[in-house]
Amino acid sequence: MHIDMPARKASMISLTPLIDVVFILLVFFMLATRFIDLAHQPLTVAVGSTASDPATTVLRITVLGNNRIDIDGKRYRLDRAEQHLKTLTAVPVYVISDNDASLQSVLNVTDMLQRSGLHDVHLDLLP
Amino acid sequence: MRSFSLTPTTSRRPDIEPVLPLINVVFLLLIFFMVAGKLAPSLPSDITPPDSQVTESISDEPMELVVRPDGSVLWREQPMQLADMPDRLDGIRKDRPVQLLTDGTITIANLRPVLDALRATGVTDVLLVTRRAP
Repeated sequence: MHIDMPARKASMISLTPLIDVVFILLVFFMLATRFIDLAHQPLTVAVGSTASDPATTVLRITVLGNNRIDIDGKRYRLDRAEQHLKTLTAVPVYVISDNDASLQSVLNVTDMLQRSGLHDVHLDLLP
Repeated sequence: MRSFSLTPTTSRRPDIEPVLPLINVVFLLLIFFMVAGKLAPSLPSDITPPDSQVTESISDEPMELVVRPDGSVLWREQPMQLADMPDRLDGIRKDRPVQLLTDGTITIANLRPVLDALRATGVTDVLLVTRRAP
């Protein structure tokens, strides 16, 4: 018996659907991904959260506008304040802010406090 | 003497071949976006979170409360008056942290009424969304 086998053609898988799918995946990932690396930090909003007990030693730092901060009544320029902060011992720090300071300047101050070794920092934007 | 053939010898090559470098590039782009990015909803275009060196990583909960630089508030992508906040936030648990997304340039004067309203609503745990600075 003789069976005619069909001549086997060199099979070429069409790449077009694959490319379509890959393009769609690419567009999906381009639109759905976020590149900003986000973090978060707590804000104190609860009533009576500020240490009002006079027996406990706390440091109150007020962020003023114009790149100045007030550390327990003495005013410093922001770039000079870091040297002063490094001399302080570890006490709880409450950061409050003037009305015309921007949020970024307040966070710059909390970053500076962290760099100076003061880790017990409370961000208390409500007076 | 060289002979010239009228039939091009390249006509036997498959048509798909010139597209191969393109496919390679598209694949590389796809892998780049998959690896380098994070699948998360993008931020509103007019909001740039403030930079901070605090590295506490963010939770995957949605950022429901957005404060624009002029002090206007969005709650779940809908504009909200501060006076309506107790009603709009009525359904959520008060001990659950609320993530607050706002712009770095906002003044504290514009942010303070929002925090006051949160305090009046009874929310005690507010997390400020920041951008991780290098």
